[in-house]
Amino acid sequence: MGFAKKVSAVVLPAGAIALGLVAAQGLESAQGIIKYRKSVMKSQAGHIGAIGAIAKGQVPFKQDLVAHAVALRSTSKMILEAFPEGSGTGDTRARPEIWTEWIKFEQAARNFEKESEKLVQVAKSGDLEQVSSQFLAVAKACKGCHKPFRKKKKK
Amino acid sequence: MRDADDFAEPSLKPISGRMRATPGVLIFFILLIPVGHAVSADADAVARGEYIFRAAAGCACHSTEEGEFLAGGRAIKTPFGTFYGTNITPDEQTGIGAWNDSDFVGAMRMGVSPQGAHYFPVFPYTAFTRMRGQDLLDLRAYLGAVKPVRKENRAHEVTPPLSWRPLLRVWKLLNFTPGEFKKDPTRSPEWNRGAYLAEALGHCGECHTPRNLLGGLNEDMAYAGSREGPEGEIAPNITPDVETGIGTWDVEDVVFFLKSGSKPDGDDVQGLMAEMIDIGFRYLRDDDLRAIAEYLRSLRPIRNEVRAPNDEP
Repeated sequence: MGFAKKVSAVVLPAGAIALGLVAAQGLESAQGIIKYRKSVMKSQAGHIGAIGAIAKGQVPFKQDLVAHAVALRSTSKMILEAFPEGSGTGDTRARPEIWTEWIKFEQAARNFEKESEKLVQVAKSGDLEQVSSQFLAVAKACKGCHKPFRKKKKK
Repeated sequence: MRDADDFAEPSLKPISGRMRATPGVLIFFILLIPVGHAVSADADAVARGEYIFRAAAGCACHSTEEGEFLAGGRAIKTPFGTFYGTNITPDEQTGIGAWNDSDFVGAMRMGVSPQGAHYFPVFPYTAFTRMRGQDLLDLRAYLGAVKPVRKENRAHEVTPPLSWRPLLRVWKLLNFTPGEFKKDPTRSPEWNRGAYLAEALGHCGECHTPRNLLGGLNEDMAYAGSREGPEGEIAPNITPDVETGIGTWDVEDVVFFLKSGSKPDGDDVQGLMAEMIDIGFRYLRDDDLRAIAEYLRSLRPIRNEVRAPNDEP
């Protein structure tokens, strides 16, 4: 057995194992990221649902509008970091286009940040009409990302 | 025989809701529809027609995201095959620009093409047959005013024998009751308005009511949701059942949803429904949205789970 062959006999399997480990680790952290970003998204949905309930007049907690809007604005800034490359596989509805069309994705996410910011301003005014109409803009911004970049629900 | 005078007026007579679509009845009603009558589309009719168009969910199946407005091409995946939304712009060669009023009314009320071919029920004439005559003509006026686009229709992908159009005549006998919407005098005007909007225009049941093996709507399960919704999606149960439907939604939730696409839990709707809201329902007046909501709230709650077990936002 020549040296090269010996080396490859040792190195190649070791390399393969190492690569496998790295891949497994990557996968594990991807799963962590996916779980995390779902939590972020769900907390956003929670605040949106709460703002909606106040805007619809179903609950009287007008004084909480600003807090919900501020929370939404804060979490809106967590979106981009929650989509690192490699986090598109696993239990996720993220579409691969997020990473192949990152600029568009980033624009859509920034737009959501912008509309959330406006919602904070409007919430401070306490005018429910304005909140409702800005809510529509926020909902549109959600869709601006979800439509091109989120897979359909599983059947 | 009928007098020529009978054809002179553009009256669209209500068709009895009870009458079945026997071939004789079909031919009779096709004859009843005034032929060759062209109404010059005045601006009022176009404006009214635009509202009808919105209430009919913006005819969302006839547009694609990238393509031109109403020029067709959208794939509607169903258990019976893949159908492609047709070009309904006023282009004379590839759209419906060469149609006259009775062609349009025949298509919407009877599901028959100007050449007399039966349409696949993926085109919801089963709902549109309930539309009032004036609303049909207004809708036509609006569609006649949109930008004409030259784009050939794409052939549907349906396997025989389902693809065999004459069979649709039999399908119609079994599953299609032509006739204008009939008010229920025991209910309020708002309820009747909501019923009309949901049944005739919004055609909610076309996706939210499950279908039988032949593709007819299973009316015993009206609005209880379908796992075989269009585009391979689930159409949720929208009866007021608390656990499996939208029983926890109040009227304001429904109104808000139809305006924003945002559900009470803060998640947003996706797929075809999102489109229907976007081009259609969000333009409706609040009183109309409220009427739809009241109507949906009045439905019999049906327990029917159509969501996937691990469904989450």
